[in-house]
Amino acid sequence: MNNGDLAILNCSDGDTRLSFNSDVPDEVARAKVIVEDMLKRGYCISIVVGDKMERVKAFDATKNEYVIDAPDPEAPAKRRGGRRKGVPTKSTRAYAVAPTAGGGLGVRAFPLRRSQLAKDTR
Amino acid sequence: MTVVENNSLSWQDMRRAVGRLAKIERTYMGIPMPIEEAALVMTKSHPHYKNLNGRTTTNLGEDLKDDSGLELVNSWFDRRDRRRIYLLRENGGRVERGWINQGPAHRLTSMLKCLGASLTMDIKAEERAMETLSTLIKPHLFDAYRMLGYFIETSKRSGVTYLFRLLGATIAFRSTEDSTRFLAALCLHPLGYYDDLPMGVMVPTDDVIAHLVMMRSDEVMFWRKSNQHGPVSPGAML
Repeated sequence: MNNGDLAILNCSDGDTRLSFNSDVPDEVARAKVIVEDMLKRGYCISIVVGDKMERVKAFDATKNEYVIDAPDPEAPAKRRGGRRKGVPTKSTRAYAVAPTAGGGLGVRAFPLRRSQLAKDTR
Repeated sequence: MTVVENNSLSWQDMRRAVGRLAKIERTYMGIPMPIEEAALVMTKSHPHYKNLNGRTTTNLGEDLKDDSGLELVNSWFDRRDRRRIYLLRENGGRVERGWINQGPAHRLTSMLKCLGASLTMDIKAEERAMETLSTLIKPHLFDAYRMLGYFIETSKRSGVTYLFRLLGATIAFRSTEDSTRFLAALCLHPLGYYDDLPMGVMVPTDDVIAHLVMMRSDEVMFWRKSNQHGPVSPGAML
């Protein structure tokens, strides 16, 4: 299988699938534009690597790879970040989650009107 | 639902039209639909943020001006009386206190409003989301989700256990042989949600997938982006 597969959570359709043949440069270039646009807009793109999931930091169209952070387990805890690693898009499942709006159950997000509030009648 | 009735359009027609528009515009996250019962709260990076944020079907297209003269000073949840207290300053002068009850009646109202919000969603989208979820978790957990509306997973990174729920904040807790310690109820919606409702603009299982994927790939970000509720807060829905 030479296809990269990206499931994009979408409020109209559930999820939309973006499949691209990793051996066709045009399709990879199109995927690069879409993935980079998503990352710029704040999407959280996660890929399955072995039995874990990792967050994608960038997309390398020349090598046809997702770029993820690869912490060095040998390094001291505070210096583990910073190293990057490429994961081939071939046969890699990816999930894109739109930027979040937070969550505010119980707290009003918009200005209150006086009529919405109860008050002491004493 | 007067807007739909007056124009003889079904919600399905509207969903399809908005879905087509999203495809033409290449808005990958889709375009959410406002409802009458609650205002939309949107992520700022959505291309239609200015037109949709804060809108209901009744104020769509209007200029949203806050002319109440009330400025929010502070708000907190009053556990004893189960209400959210608001301190508001009127036209820069005196601070007034008021509250919104958040007891069982509030919860019932929320549930009824969710019925309205569900009209904006396509059941096929929920089925597709369920299919995606089934590829992400083990079959017995997926069965539990279908039967009960929730499943658990323990983070390999932190050891924290999460209870992922349909239409509810994800509960984070630590469990040992002797005890279970509640950590937080994590409320987060990708793209947007309906104000003061437990419902996001995506189908409910998509919200669950978002929580699961974010927890697995970047747990720190998942906590940072979430609204963290205590166990007795109405937002925790416990």
